[in-house]
Amino acid sequence: MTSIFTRRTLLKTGAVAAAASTLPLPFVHGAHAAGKLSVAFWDHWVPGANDVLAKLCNDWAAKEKVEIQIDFVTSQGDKLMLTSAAEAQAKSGHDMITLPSWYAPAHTPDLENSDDVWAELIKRHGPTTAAMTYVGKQDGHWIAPPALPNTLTLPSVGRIDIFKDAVGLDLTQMYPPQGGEPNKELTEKWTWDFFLDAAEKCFKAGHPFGLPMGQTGDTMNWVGAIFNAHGAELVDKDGNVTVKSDAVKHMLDYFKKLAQFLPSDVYAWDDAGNNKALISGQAALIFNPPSAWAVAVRDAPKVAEQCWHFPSPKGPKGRFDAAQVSFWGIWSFSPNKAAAKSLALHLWETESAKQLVAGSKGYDIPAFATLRNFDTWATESPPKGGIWNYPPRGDIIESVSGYPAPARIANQIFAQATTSKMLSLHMQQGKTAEQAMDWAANELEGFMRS
Amino acid sequence: MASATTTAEVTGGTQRAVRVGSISRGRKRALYWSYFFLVLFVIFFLTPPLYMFLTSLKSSAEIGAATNPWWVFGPTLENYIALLGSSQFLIFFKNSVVVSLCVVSVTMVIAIFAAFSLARMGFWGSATLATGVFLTYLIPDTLLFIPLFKIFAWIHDTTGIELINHWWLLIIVYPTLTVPFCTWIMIGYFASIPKELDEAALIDGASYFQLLTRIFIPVALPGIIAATIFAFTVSWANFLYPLAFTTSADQLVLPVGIVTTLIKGDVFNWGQIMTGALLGAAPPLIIYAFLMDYYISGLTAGATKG
Repeated sequence: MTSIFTRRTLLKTGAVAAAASTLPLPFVHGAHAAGKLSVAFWDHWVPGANDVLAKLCNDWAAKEKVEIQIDFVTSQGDKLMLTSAAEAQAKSGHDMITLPSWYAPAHTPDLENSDDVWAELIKRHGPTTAAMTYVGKQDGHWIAPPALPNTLTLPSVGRIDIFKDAVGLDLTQMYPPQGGEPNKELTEKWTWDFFLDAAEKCFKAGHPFGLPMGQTGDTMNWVGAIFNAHGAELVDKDGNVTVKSDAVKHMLDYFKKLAQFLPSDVYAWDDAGNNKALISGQAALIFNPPSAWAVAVRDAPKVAEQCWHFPSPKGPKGRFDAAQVSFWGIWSFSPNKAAAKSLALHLWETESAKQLVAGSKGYDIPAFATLRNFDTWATESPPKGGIWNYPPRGDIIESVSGYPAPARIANQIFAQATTSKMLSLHMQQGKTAEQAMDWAANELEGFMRS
Repeated sequence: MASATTTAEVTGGTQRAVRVGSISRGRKRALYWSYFFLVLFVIFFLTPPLYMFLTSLKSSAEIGAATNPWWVFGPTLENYIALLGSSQFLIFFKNSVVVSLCVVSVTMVIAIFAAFSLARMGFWGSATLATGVFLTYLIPDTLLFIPLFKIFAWIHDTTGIELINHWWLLIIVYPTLTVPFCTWIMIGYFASIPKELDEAALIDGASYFQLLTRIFIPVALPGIIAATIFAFTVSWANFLYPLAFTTSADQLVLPVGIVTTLIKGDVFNWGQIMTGALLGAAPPLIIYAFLMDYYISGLTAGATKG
């Protein structure tokens, strides 16, 4: 009788084993993949959205024989930030946690490399957005799988009637609903210079634009978009302070002009200020995801009927929509990383993404262009098609405030609201553009040292 | 009897009014100023609760509309009905009540025994220990929550007992805030009790326990009430610990529950937030209204003795 283990088969087996050990851990599959998985998701504001996500997770857990615990953690009171900071310090807690925007890069050393998940997702759905890559890829590696809930943009939300009367622009014609292509002639006209002119006209008509200028996320997002559209960088990609530039000075001058046409209290607005301006019927335009419109549908239906979501104006560097990206960070100390990755992949199945978008009533935007044509955006109303142009398509670039500074510095620029403080110094406190830029340069130098 | 009213007197050819009773006039002026500043103070501090009350009587549509915020055009109780009919809000309320009552009990037992031993038993190092207790109070909860989180994670890893995300964990962590200050108040109050009292009791054969329960506690009742109110207020209103240690909706207490369930992203349910805040403020308000005198006397006794 001859042995089935020859020298050659042993070598072959060894080579296969060695190759397997260098590959990423396999995802959980089959009946023997039991284990526990604890997940903290962002607590969605849209009623029912959490239920859709929970159902998808529970279906996956039942199939994979995983015992899953789901917590929905609010971002209010910085609870999500607090929880992630405490878990990272204690090296204990959930296996996977939602990390909005800059929270993810801030935790890079404690996060499991997710190159394998991203490779699979890009294979399935094609390339992702510039914003997702900028925040999620650090030192050449993906730090976490993308999250669908709470990934969004803040495009223009304009009043159809006021724009028609005061500006002479038909928003529904410029960016028509599903089935129509954006009107090239009108979209080319929709620039930041035209925006300034429209702001003046709407102000004179008694409907000023509701543009926050405080030290809040909404402010930093829309201000970041216009800065990026003009190539106005505070810090370049190599970490050099470049705030004292012609592009930034141009922005300061632009905002000085714009300030005349804004409500006087915009410097004190919180993130709800622009929502209230729209819902009360006062503002002709704000930059926001469809949350303000959704509240208007409930509380001010007449206003909601006139709301149209469409991309931001174009600048010399392109058309940038402010974006907020989110991630499902998998802790490196998690005992069940493979299950967490498997769940992330399951939630990014096309059918799952479709359900999640529908559950959020179109609020959440997938990180892949190929998943941005779901019916939800076409059918939500009133008015019908009002949020069809909410997900960025075509020439729109998703913008993150602080770009292109390295994550560590961009995070500080966002958190400290450096851009809006600099603008306020010039717009409100009478500092010259040079003085405001000097102040910002000093602040940014401080970030470099921290 | 000499007249107490103003009389006239001739001095150097001029007539001058002699002011009799100028002290009472001075007092009157002081009283006017007191009332003036008191009214300013009341306006300043009662404006926010008034605004909250007015907003709680408005519908979401009225709050969102561009109308006079200081007037209620269509008063409604829908926010009160919605909150009091919401099982979630009642759970927050119940959790807050249970946590606060337990924390007050635990705190007072520890604080009274600790204060008595530190103030009266005079063992070696008691003075240093008393100062140490107060210094502990100076460490803010923002510094403590991450070490506490680490301790709970370690307990979970070593024993398998999950402490995080349970409301009853707050009964364990709140005393880290309440015990030091309450002990300090009680040390001050116990120190103000004449030593002759306990010496007499000890000569009569009382034990230290009897000394505490029969003499010190009855005499120090205002101090105990002051410490109790403090412990209740801290445990009722604390925000950071429940924010850090509890997550699930059924484990939340009132301050965190209101903020986390009634604000979603940039969507604020103002009417219910204001209603919830007013209802949440009611228990401490009622307690203060009835026990204010004890609270003040308890705190001042602690401030001047020991």
